Amino acid sequence: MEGAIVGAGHQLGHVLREPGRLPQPASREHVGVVVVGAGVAGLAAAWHLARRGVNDLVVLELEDAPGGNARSGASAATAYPWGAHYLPLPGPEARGVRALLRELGVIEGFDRAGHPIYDERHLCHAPQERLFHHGRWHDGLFPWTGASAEDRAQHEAFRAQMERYRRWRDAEGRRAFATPRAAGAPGAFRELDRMSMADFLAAHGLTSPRLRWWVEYACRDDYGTDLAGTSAWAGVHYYAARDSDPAYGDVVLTWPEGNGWLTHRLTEPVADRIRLGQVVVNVEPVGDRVAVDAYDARAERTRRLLAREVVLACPVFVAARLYRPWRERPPAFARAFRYAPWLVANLHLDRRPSGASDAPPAWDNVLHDSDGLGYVVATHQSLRTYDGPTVLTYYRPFAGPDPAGARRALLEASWASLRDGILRDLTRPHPDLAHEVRRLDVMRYGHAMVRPEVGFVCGGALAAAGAALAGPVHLAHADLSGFSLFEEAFAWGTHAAARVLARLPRST
Amino acid sequence: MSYAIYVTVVVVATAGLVYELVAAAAASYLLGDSITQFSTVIGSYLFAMGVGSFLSRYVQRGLAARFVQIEVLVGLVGGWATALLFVAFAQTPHFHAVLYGLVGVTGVLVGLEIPLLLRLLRDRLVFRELVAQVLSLDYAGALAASLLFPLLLVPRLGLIRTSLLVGLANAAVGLWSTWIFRRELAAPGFLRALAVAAVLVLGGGAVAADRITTWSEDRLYADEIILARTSPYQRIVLTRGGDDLRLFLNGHLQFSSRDEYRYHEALVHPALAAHPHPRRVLVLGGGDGLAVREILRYPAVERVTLVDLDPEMTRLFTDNPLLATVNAGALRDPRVRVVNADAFVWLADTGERFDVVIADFPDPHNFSLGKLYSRTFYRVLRARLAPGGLTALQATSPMFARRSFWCIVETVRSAGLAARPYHVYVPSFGEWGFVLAGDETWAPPRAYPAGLRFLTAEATPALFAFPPDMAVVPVEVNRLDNQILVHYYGAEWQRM
Repeated sequence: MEGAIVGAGHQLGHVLREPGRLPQPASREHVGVVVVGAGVAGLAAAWHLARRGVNDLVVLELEDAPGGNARSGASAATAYPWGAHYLPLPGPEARGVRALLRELGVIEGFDRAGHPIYDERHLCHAPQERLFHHGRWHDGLFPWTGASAEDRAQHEAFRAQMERYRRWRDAEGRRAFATPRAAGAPGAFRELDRMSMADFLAAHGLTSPRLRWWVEYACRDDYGTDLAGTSAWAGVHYYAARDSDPAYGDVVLTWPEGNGWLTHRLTEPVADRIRLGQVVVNVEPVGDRVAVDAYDARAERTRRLLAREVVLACPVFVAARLYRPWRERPPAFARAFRYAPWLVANLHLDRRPSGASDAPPAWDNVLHDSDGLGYVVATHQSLRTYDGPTVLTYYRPFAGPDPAGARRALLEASWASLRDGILRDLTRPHPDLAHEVRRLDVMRYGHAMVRPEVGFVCGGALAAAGAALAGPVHLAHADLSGFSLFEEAFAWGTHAAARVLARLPRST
Repeated sequence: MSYAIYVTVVVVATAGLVYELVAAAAASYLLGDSITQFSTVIGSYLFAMGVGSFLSRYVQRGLAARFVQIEVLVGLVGGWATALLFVAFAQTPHFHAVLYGLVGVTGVLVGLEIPLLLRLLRDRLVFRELVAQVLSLDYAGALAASLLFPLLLVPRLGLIRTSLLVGLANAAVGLWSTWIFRRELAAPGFLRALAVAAVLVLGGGAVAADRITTWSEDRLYADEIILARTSPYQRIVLTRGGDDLRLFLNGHLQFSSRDEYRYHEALVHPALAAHPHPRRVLVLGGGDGLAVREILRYPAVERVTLVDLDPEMTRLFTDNPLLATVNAGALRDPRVRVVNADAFVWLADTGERFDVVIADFPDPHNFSLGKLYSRTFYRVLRARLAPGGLTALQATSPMFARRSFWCIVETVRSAGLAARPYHVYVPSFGEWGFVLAGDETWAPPRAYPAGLRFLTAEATPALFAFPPDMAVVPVEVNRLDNQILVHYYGAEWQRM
């Protein structure tokens, strides 16, 4: 079996720790708008600006490919994700995402009731998910097998409670829990942020281990945190912010390359204006412009761009190092942002893995007793009807209470030890997997996503971060919503772009 | 004369006849028509023996060494002949050449045996005694063969193992002949080694015969399996019971040669005969070429494109002599182009448009196949129809899989095609359903090409009437994200 640790972003990013060792800017360039970061927020901002005729625009990205947490790769057999791998069907509040999907043809139109009609090819093909529990695969995600009457009753009680939160509206008809957050009633149920999701379940007498596992799975999957580490507000948001579509149910949108499909489409109008392998080391106001110093790792040169407007589409902890006023006087809110490390691995096989086949192979294959989240199958969306080469994408968040320690251990681990851990996990349902995997690559995310911890999601730090900058430097990132979702990043990116547009003189 | 020599003659004679019987039996097993196969094989074999006897005059020196070599060669060629015949049947279009080639070589070698033996033993016995004894033992051996073969060898060992064991006996004769004729042999060591090697090869083959022939499905199939191949995509099994040839893909019956004409005429002609000028026809699935056979009855057809995933399947139905008779050489017709690709992917990528599209897919018994019956598939299909184009597809049984059938009909409609379901009785399947669809209005054809055995213009409208026990039921549309058809189908076939 071959393989490697891929993505050297953290090595490049750590260059930021010693900015003095980098060469001084050797050249200058005048640009209208600079977007720092080609993740979803940055690409959303660039896309929005480009479509409104702002061509004097540069996007600077640290990694060798755009996409941020929605990165993807491709083999001869199929494309596959390196990060976020699906998008839930957007509700009516997610106007920006719906408009994007309409433009990309994912939404083909709207029916008489105003509900979107989706191109089926983008919907996750059935069967969507299955769970490996008690040595067998079962349809669906909830561990029903062996569930007692009490388990079922508690599941129903939880579902009913989430339904009440889902239905709540304020005087203006806004939801308490909405996607994006900005569309929701501000401050609704903020008391939930004072307890963890574990406390929330306990407070409601929901002690069923199956229910707790299922809820914790959701928290680990979306937030990279366990029950004790997740704010109850975020935990409830996971369920209450999503409506089941009347026509499509709970199906999600997915592609072989995961959300990379979306970010590839977003890069299309600005492809020639994205510069990769650029470490932005400094952002500071200089006169009536903003200077952005970018170190080109390959050319080993620093360049200074002088822009009218700058969108910092990077995590808050990165912005705190880039933005000179914050570097010199660190804002109080920055400390509240803590990040979850993640590991993503891609396993290349000649055909689907053998092993217990009680439930037919699904797109999302979850293991019950595991620190990992299971794996998705990149060829599941393929139209082909035979079993050929495929790629399995395995996800593992480090969701415990010590993310910094877990991060250190992750970055020090060798490929072999990571590979062994992954195989140990996956050989339970697939005993012969070690012989069937041709290649196993691992990508480590030291700071994959912000942790929605107790007191953070509705806390002052988040609010302060969101309001801190009003131009010519703008902050746009999912961090500002307290958790990492495509819709949040997209909303912040387009919001920043709108403010930039308002501030730019007409001629640009 | 010593007993060793008696035994040698009997064994040689028995083996000689067994090879002949095995070749004839294998040929009739694989090709059918036993009277012709037995007659021609036996005739050719005897003729080859005559040639061998004629050639014996050219063996002038080293008779004993020659005899040993011939025994070893007969053992190897005759022993492996049956395995070679089965492989050739599955692999090449030149089965007859292989059959008569093997029969010829074996016959020539066997024909050399008795003349050489008579000459070798000339000095041990008075000539009239020698001739009487050797020939009577020869015919006694023939009797033994004709009794052992049907009563013991084939039922217990099967054709391939019989052939290998008898070859082993010949090689063993070669080995002990190096002892019998040790005085006449110049280099007995080398010949012994040769004989031992042959014994080992044949013995090993006999032991491993199970792996040469994986007839484990024998228990699953009612008739004798004559061909079983595992391609990267599916397991192809062909069985024969009398005249009836049946094809199974992954254990699912695709056709029975006795009544497949009903299925294929019903699939093809209502669409093709109704189209004014069906120039370009597409067949999806149907790698057996049977639908193509029906399509080629129309002189207006200029090009038939067959898209079937499995090259093994299309090759078999193009090259194999038996299967090519079933589909009347359809896949070799110059108008036909065979493409081995995944139908859905190919259809989505192609820019071509077709006047008629025939979809002859396996039933939707898993999620992969279910995609071929989804609304998305039918929308893509619709986009590939030329103006006035029609499509006909097989839609499982409205009798046994009623919801599945009507789900397919509903899904075709949801793709924007006008769907007209119809059904036909095919004895080996039961009541089977099809859907005729297109954008334009369709009227039943007024005439069909000559030579159809089932379909007539008068009977066609009746096919579109459904009795109450097969009539429409409420169903959902089959979409990629719900795959509801696979669920219906699984539930309905379980109930069977």
